[in-house]
Amino acid sequence: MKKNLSVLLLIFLLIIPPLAYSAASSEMLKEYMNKVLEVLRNPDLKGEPGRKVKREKIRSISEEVFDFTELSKRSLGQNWNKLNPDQQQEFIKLFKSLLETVYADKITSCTDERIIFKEEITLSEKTVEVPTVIVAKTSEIPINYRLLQEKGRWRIYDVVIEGVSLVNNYRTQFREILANKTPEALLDILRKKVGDARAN
Amino acid sequence: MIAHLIGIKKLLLLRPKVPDLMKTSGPVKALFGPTPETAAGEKGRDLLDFLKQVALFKDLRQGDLKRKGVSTSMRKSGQKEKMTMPNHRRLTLQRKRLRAEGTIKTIQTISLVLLVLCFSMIPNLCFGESWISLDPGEASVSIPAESEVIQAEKEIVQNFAVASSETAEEETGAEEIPDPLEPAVSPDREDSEEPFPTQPSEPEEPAATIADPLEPVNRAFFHFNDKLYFWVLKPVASGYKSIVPEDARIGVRNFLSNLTTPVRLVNCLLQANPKCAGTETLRFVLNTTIGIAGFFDPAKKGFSLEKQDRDFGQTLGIYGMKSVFYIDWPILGPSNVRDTVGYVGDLFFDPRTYLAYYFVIAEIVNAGTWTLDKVNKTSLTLGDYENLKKAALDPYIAVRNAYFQYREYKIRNR
Repeated sequence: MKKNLSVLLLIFLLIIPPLAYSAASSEMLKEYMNKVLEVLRNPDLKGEPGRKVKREKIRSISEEVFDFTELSKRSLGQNWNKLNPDQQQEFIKLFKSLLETVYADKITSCTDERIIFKEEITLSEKTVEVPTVIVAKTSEIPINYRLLQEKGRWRIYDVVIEGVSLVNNYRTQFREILANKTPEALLDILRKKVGDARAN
Repeated sequence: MIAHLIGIKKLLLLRPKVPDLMKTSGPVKALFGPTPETAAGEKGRDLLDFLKQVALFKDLRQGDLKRKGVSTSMRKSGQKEKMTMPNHRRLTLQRKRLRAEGTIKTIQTISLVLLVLCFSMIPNLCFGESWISLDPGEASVSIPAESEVIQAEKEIVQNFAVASSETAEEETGAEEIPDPLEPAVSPDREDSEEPFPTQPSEPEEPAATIADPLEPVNRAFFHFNDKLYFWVLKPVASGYKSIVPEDARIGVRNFLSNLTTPVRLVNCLLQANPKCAGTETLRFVLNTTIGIAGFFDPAKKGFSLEKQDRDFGQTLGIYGMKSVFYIDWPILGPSNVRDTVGYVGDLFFDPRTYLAYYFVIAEIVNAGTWTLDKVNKTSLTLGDYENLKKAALDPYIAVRNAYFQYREYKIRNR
């Protein structure tokens, strides 16, 4: 289970058969995933340099779909107020690069998964949850995307893998850290983490 | 003086006829001289007489003849002679033993009382409202530090919340916090603060944490498991992966999964879920026959019968038992009190446990099956743990929280 969490966490890419259920949010999600898929399956981009290009492209696509500001705010939760505006901006940047760096490899290596979309659930006026199932050869894992509507656009603010919410998970970690350390120390830890992740 | 001497002479003439005693006692021999042996029956009387005389002799020496009556003195001294030395020690030993027994009994009683108290607390802990939790909506006990944070968050919620519909879960409070930063009017705040229900009918979200009173121990075991993974499990699984093709490994997984059908079946029944029980039975029949002892999974591919993953820990959770607190077992991995009980309970229905009885080397068979299962599963999911570590700032907390959320999810969405 815990391994599923990491594997599936942020598998953006997928092969998707278009499904009957369609709402604006699901449509957006499908569109996004199709784009990612295109990039991944591009025959021109092969090998190591190709992978780098793929990663860059996926990153730019993801930026449109993921609301990293909202993600960061919710990951810190109540502690968001402990950071001053500069620190907040830096936190958003660092968190974003951490998530991107960590899952870039995973994304680019997956090629033959299938995503099944299910009917979306309305959480509130502005938020919905789109349940999907990622079917791979060795496993089948339910992933739910939670989307928030802002200025007419739907963006992802949380990914829930088999019931484990990304935001919730990070919130617990940040809370433990901030219980004993200052926000600056947290940012240091994040910087170091991003640096390590990039190096590997 | 002379009367005394005469008395002595009279008494001394009553010769004791016990040769052994005469032999042993030098002064007596000198006094009485060697005596012939007497008949056996008379020995006792003769002994008594001798003893009397010895006692008298003692008393004469001490000049006590007149003061005490002979018989009294003889009795007292005789009995004292007999009892004091050995009896004194015996009494002390007896007293010591009695005292020790008393202490042991006291200790036993006290421990028994404590045990009874503890056991009577357990149902309260497991099933009752947790003492430290603040919200009725919380699904488990929070550690004190957490509860302070929750308290603070709740206060902020009260400051900012406009909505009335509140059981004020911690998550709801946390969600609302980012909103004040936006130049939004209160109605908006309400909207984006929504907690994370999985069904619209469940507005509550479980508390984001599990109690962890054994954190130092758990961290140590987590570290141990980490090393075990990298030094033992991963190399073995990688080697296994390179030798055995993926399809075969999936086949092994299916086989072992088919073997443990009784576990899931019993739990389905315990959870009063006939559909689940029926599905599992059908899956078992189909996979064992068509799927050749379970290596293939025609039930899923051909008939869309999904595996119903149930375990006893989940059943207990559905009945209302709390997770109580987090435990990270050395080899078994993350768990909690309820799931540990569940794991043990599942062992009773697991055929693998009983399989071992029919083999000569029972323990090895049992351990072997378990190890194969673990290695096989790991070989299919290599890289997951590494990714988790890469992504997490504190892997221990990440695993603990992920495990907690996963279990809550399993109980909520059977």
